[in-house]
Amino acid sequence: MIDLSDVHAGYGRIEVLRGVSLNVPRGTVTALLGPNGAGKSTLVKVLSGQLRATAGHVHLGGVHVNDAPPDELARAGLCTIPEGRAIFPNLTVAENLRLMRGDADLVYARFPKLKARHRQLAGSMSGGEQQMLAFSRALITDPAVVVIDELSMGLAPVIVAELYEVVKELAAGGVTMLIVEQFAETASAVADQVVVMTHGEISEDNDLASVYFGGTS
Amino acid sequence: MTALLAYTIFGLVTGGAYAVVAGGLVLTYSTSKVFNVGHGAIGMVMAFLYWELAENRGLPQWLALLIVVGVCAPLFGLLIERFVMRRLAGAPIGITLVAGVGVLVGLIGVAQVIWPPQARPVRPFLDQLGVHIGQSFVSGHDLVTLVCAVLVAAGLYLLLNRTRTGLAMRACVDAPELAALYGTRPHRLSAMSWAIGSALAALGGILLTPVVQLDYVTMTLLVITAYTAALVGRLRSLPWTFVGALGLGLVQSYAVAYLPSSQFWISFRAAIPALLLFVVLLAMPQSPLRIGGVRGSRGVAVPTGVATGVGAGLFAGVVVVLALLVDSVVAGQLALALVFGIVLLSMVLLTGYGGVVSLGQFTFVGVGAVTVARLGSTSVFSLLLGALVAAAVGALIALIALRVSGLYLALATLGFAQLMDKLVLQSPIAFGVRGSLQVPRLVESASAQLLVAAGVFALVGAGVLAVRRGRLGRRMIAVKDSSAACATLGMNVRWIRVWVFSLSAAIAGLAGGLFAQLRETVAASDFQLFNNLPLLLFAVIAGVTSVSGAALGGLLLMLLPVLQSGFPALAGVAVVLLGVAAAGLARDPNGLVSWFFRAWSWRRA
Amino acid sequence: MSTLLVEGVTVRFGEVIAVNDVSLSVDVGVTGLIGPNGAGKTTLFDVISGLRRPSAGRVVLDDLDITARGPHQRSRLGVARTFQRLEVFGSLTVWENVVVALESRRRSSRLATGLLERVGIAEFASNQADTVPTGAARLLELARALATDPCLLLLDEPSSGLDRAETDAFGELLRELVGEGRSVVLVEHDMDLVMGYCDQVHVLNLGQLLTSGTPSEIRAHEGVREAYLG
Repeated sequence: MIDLSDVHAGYGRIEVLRGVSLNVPRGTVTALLGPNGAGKSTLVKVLSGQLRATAGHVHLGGVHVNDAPPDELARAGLCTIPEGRAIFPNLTVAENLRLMRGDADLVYARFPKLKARHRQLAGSMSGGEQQMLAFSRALITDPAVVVIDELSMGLAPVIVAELYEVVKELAAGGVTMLIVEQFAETASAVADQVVVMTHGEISEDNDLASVYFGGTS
Repeated sequence: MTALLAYTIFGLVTGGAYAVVAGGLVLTYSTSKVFNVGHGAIGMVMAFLYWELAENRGLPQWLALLIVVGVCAPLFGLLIERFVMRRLAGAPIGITLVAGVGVLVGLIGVAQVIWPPQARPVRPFLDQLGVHIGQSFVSGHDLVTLVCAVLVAAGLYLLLNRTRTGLAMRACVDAPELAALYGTRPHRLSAMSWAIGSALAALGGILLTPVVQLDYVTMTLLVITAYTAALVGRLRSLPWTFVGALGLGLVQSYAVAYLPSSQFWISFRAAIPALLLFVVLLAMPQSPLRIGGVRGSRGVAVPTGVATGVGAGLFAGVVVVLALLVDSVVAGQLALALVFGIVLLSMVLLTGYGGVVSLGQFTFVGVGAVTVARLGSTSVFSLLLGALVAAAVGALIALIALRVSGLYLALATLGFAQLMDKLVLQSPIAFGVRGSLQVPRLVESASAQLLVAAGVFALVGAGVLAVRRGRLGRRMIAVKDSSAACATLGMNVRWIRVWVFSLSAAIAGLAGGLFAQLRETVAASDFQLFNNLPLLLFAVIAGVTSVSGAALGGLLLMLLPVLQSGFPALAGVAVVLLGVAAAGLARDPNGLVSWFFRAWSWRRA
Repeated sequence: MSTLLVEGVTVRFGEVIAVNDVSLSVDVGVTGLIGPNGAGKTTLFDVISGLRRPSAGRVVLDDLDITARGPHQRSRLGVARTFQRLEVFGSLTVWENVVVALESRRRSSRLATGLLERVGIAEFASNQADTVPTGAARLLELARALATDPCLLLLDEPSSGLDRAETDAFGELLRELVGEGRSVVLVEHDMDLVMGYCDQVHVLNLGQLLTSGTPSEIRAHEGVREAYLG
């Protein structure tokens, strides 16, 4: 469903992705792990259409999308949740949900905390609640592909667990997913495929502990 | 008591018209992140068009209003968005400002070509109607204005809060990249906001015509009032913008009523919007040091000391030959071009190297000119004193305005220029009651003037290049690229900026002194606020990053009025072309000269 | 010889608490500051270098409370830093980048070439700084910070963008810097570097100090493994 072949990309003359090939089969979950600066977020930007690949090919659902702008990809069923708090802080929770064009009640049933705060400005909520709101888009817009960058960044374990419950449900429903994490065995646990990235390339070495703690552990 | 009521109503009426204009400005800025300096000019052209339809062609007023506000203005907004502004997405603030100035100057050119100067009375709306409130009379036109303001406020509120499109617009203000990931169409939203923004500029312009008269420049600059109102809402909040506009209208109205009517206070009243602009800017929080991301720009290559010497020698040779060959009229014109070139050198330093966009640079020229004129005798000493006074004024404005940066700083310089314009340059303080002063020449003959101007230009140009190669130049550019890194390396960022600002003002002041003695008579009308805008435009078109760009820009600045007096229609066309050129060239701040040098264009790494 | 004390520092962004009541000390040697993304490491650097005012707490350098001082004043007291998101002066050449820093501390610009050689990027000296590879740009930031002759050096992910050999050379440079009596604080994800070169390691998680200790203590700490591996 997601198919990258020998993708190069970067900013200005600085190349961040140095020939990345990655295939996520339809209806499966792939966890993309790796240290900071490995190029994971850049990969997400290329997938979502925010950054153009300088070489290589990007296919989504068999369609060549190297030149497609982000809004077009989004309307075609790609749900990208970028790094950080992917919400509109100065809109209320309810307005954020209205922008998603989905059934808000589904979200309220799943995350009752958001229902209680639906008239509040989204930016005034806690980090965990903001991430729940951002994540809601994957839940209610019936996407074909979901790409999440740094799902658990800066969140308490309880909330991470709650969000991964939703990931499991979506996976069970047949949604193709790419989950980018910096440090996570939680992600590996739900994934059909674990890929590790270092220095802008897909690493051969899939042992996480050795990536983070070196050969010594 | 009834007088107070009457002035309150007048204030609300004027404020209502400001609110309509400012509302459009905020809408376009917040959805497209391009601050439209030409907003007032759109209102001006549309008001002229309304006059054409309603007064010249005799259409019913309501039909003319409908055609202009409902059809022509939105279409025009769409065109501007599609062909100018869309190409500027993500460009630095200086570049979007120049494109806006290009639109502005171009529109003035269009208006001058189509509607040559003459008196154009415009009938107010519903002039047979009106209400008496106590002893004061509220005209039908006032009522229409108030109703329009209320309708616009309500309409914008409904659009932004009750419709999907409005919600998407607000989302774009909050996080444009995320909005695209949500599937909203950024271009469509931006196009719509420009259409609505232009329509509001047109409506505001037409409503204000009976008050301010149809005039190219006055109406265009009326937009400074709209900036002030928009800044009250931090360029984002429409409700606060409306509050700001109404407040401004009230303050102006009360000022007319209760301030003494001596000469000074009359000037003071005219300066109120600019004063309030300053107050609002000062109330803003200090802009934080930006962290994150490499910034860099490619200027044209900086010549070495030797190359500068050779260049200056060649330049001197050419000028000496010219001085011998041409007649005194042409020599005088060339001298003027070089004096303008010196003004542009001050912008090479400030804008080209320092990255600070100033919309008030011509004001320092005025300060230098007034100083020399007031001294009554022209010598090297008096010219330097002019530069010094300009530098002092520059340091003062820098200390006040440099707490903000980018767009806000550019607007602060424009506010400062208006303040100086109303309180000093256009008042008897500067040029006396007759509005003009005689200045003795430094050297008598025109060819000697040419040699003097060329000498100073060469000296200042070499000086600017020496600054660029030296310690201060490196620091200026470092501050432009990353002020946060500069601070952590022990530099006092603020003082570096103040220093650059005053140095640049000193150069402009020196040029002002030269200008005064070259002209022999200088008048308030030589230093009008509006002159600041073409200055920035010519600087950028010719090339604001190089000395040769400054020389070329000076030549163009000198030629424009010559063209205007010789072939008025052609001059209008030239101005339109300039506007188009600016919009097209805006992405390349190295300007036309860089084409000659085949230098690398502006890039972002 | 320099000692930095961070006492009860809290940073709030609206409702979100990025750094929550963190107290730690830094002595001569290499101090590691590690933790998952979003743990508050860079924010803490911003507080120490003066780019951000903490909502609460104090920063003390050699018994002097510097909480209210601006970044340029702290630089004069010997604090220097590099940036996670690069802040090189892109319009200037690599050499000019270092010269600017030298001049700001009134040191001779002739030292620039030596500094570039020391961090190993002399070959790029005349390149415009926004055109060099990420690794070289990081080393340039290091050279620029060293140009101010700091006693406390804050390095934010210096090794990202470096290859293995460059990372090793960087480690040796760290040892040299400590030998000159400087204190170095290292935010780093390369655990070999952290474990191999740090004398003391502080672990941040979710804005709070999780634990402090020697590298071997940290490696054995259950909570740290959990925070990293989830």
